[in-house]
Amino acid sequence: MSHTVLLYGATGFSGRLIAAEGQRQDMARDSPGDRMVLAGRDGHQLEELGLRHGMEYRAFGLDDRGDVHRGLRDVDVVINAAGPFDLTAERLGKGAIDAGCHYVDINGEVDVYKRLDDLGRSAAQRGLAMVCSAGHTAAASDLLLEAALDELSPGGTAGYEGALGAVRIAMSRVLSLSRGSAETLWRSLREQVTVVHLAETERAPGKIAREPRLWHEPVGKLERTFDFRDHGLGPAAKRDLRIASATNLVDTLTARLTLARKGFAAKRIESYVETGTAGRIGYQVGTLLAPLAAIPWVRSLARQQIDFLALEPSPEELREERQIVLLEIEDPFRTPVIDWRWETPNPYQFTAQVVVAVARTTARRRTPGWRTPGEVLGVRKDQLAGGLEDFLRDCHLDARTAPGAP
Amino acid sequence: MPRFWLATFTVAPPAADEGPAAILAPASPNLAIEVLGDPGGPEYAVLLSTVDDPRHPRALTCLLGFTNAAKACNIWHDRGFPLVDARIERDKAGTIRVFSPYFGGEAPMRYDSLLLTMTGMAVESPPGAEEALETRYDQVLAAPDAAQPDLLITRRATAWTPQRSGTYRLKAADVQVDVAPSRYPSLAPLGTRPLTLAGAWSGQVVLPEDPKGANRGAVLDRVNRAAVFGPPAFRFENVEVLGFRIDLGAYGRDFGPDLDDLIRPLNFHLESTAGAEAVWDFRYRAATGTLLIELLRYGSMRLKSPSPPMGLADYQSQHELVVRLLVGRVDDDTAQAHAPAVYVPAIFVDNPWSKVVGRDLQGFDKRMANFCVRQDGREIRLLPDGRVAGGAESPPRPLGDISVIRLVEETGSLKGPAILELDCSPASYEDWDAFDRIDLGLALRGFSLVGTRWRQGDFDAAEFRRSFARSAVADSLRGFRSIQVSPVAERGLDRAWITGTFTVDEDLRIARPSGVASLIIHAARSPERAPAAPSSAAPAATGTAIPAAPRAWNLLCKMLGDGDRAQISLPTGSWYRLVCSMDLTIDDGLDWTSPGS
Repeated sequence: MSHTVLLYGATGFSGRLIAAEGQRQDMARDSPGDRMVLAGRDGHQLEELGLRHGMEYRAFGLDDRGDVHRGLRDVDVVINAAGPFDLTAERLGKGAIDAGCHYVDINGEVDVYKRLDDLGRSAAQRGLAMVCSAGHTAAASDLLLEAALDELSPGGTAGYEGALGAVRIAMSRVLSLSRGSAETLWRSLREQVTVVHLAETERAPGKIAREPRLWHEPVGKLERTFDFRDHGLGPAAKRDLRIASATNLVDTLTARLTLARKGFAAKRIESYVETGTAGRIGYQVGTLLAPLAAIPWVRSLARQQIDFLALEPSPEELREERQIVLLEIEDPFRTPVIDWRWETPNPYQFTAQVVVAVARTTARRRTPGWRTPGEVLGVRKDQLAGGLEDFLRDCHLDARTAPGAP
Repeated sequence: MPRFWLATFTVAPPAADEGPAAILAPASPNLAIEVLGDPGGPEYAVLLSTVDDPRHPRALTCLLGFTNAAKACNIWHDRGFPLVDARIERDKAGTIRVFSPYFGGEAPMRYDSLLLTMTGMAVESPPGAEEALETRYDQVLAAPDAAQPDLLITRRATAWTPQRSGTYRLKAADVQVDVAPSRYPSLAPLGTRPLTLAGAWSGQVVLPEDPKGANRGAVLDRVNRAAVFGPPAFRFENVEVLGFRIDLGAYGRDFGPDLDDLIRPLNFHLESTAGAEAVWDFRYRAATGTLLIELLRYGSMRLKSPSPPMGLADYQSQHELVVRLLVGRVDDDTAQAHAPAVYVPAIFVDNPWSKVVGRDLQGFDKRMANFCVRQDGREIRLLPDGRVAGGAESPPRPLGDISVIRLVEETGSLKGPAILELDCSPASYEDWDAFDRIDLGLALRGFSLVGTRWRQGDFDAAEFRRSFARSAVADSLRGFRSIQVSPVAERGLDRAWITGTFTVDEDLRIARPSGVASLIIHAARSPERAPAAPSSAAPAATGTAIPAAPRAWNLLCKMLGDGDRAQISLPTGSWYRLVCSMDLTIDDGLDWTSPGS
């Protein structure tokens, strides 16, 4: 059975990469299988892009509910690649439920994720799925965590049951940012860092349980050194220690869901991004100055600086830049039981590969409700290691042996 | 044991210009009328149904019904039977008369008017052998859609098989059914087409309980709400409010857990563990320790857009006793409060159609009550429009004349426990009618509204101060958001928050009479379940027909008094009168452009 996947925001940087991935996966107009339809506001750019990839297009904005409803007619899944997601995710998410199609996006903003997850219940009642943050953020860490927890589950190799210590996700630095990503980063400076820790929660009067709760730490407070070395290079590989700062990433939220779904309770969940010395100073200073960011002329100045950036990374930068994702899981006694390193293509390319797979799988499996990308794709450790799936091409897993693992 | 009388009819084909028959399934020519009654008591239920085979009935679907057992009526509804509260009389000759509000030829609704008469109903067992009669009622449970409660209704099939015993087929009798010319509810084909009696049975019956929901079937397609209940936008005019501010802070105790308990239904999401949901990181909390008890009279309630057979001119009235709390949505992680809304944990009304819509579609756990005035030393029930019931035509009595509000036990009678006694008769206050007209644009900058609804100073908790309090205080008069949870009772359908927006017209007027007003709140609980055989009009699950107030009302009584009774005296400034007109629209959860979204 073939499905129609509508890509909204197709003319943006990420959107074009996703469209190209769609073409690579044979989703053009005349494909016998799943079809990709391009969409966005600018009809001329869409026409040009549609011609290039042999895909249909639909031009519509998100201001009018009727336009959105018409734009999503006969669509099985909509991929939202149109940032800033603060302005598009709720509209397209609600529009998708209204039109009866599944919703997938590549949002990387925590507040957007938290706002959108309210819709999961409505989607579930209509038999629809919503998969938020199915790009590199937070699909990469979620795929890793999904496979790692399978290893730890009673049916897996390690045999852990339930209780865990800290779960830490760390990302290597992204060197080349698109303007959209830079804007998201600028906005995140004004936010505290969301982490998860176990805390007593009163679910109903008198019913108190220890549950993973969201918590906020000041920006720059949590820093850690992670070893990014690749053991695949052999025993001679030198330690590659890098400092990373806890960052407000959606990965923390998806990890909480994945852990809960798999029956695990971690004492802490934290997400980090590698920051060099200059980056750390910038991060701290940026945080101190964050209140100023509310002033219009400061915002305007920041926007000008962002406008000086290249619109998008060059093809060379995309080709050469690799991204490393680390996953550390401790047992309740703080002994590491999972220490995995996953190398992926650059985040933009990886986003394109994964989000198309998530969208197609969502249409096929029809598992309604609020889902994480790892849950939708459900890959195992051997698939991650071997890059067995097409969407995992150019990925390399180094499942480093943890000292305390049974 | 309760008795039943079941008659089936074949109905003559419709005339060419005749519309659909409201109490028949599409294209069905077969009608059934079942009367359930307590042989020793006054409780009855009349079910008007469509039936598969009038000679050998097996499957029925009740499309409209009436009962005079107020508590049972809600239970019937929660089992998928669309029953309406009605006064039902049965005389010695066996004639059943149903008095229920309806729209006839005029714009205002008729109250306490004869709607349906059935004669020739004999229940005495004839000589001869018993006959097995196994029938099933195929019903539909309904609740608003979670995402679009204004547009869609979710439904689930349910089937009930009454346990019948001692059943005899009755001899053909001269059964006659007469109906008033009502536009709504329509009883067609009764009164519009000839009926031919096909069979009649009588015997004993029990509608068994289904505590585990085993009778529930598949979830059905969603249907358009407007097609069933009319569009969800209402216009209220000539609304009079007599309001009492109860400041819990004055009691010097910590009411936090009680307030949490009062709004517990709003936090249903915290108790669910559905795997297809996100982790919920928010909860609703009472924003202030000040709650309102308000007595209202809606002069006219009408639809904002026509929904045939109802037109824009058609209107109904009602009295309402309501408890209001201001709540906010508080994020667990940031402790930020937002989305101020008014939650109603307990509400009593005297218009059965308002109860049906409010309970089924808007999440208000409405209970029927009699709003009584004293006259010549005795209590007299008011009609929903304020006139005295059963008396000669007279002008509506002032709202302040209402001195007792009683839960309805048997519709149409004054039986039932008192839940509130009021002592604030207009004659006791010189400035009862000293209304000030309020400019809503300016009202909140001055102290002209001190004493009405919520004030800035009511907000003690840090998360509810400042912007939340400012917008909540402003909105409480010029318009406010309401939030409820539907379905009120377990129906095997997903629960959902139903939010609505009340918008008050510019004609708002306020009076703050000088003097003390007194209230006595009474708890009303159902007695422990009686071991005796259940009544039929009250389905077996009820155990007893004695109605109870909502849990929140009884909790309020415990908070403010000894659990059975609470006496409150309110000085000048702690109670108020409002007169206004307003609109209510139910929010569409998928509309990002509406203020409520």
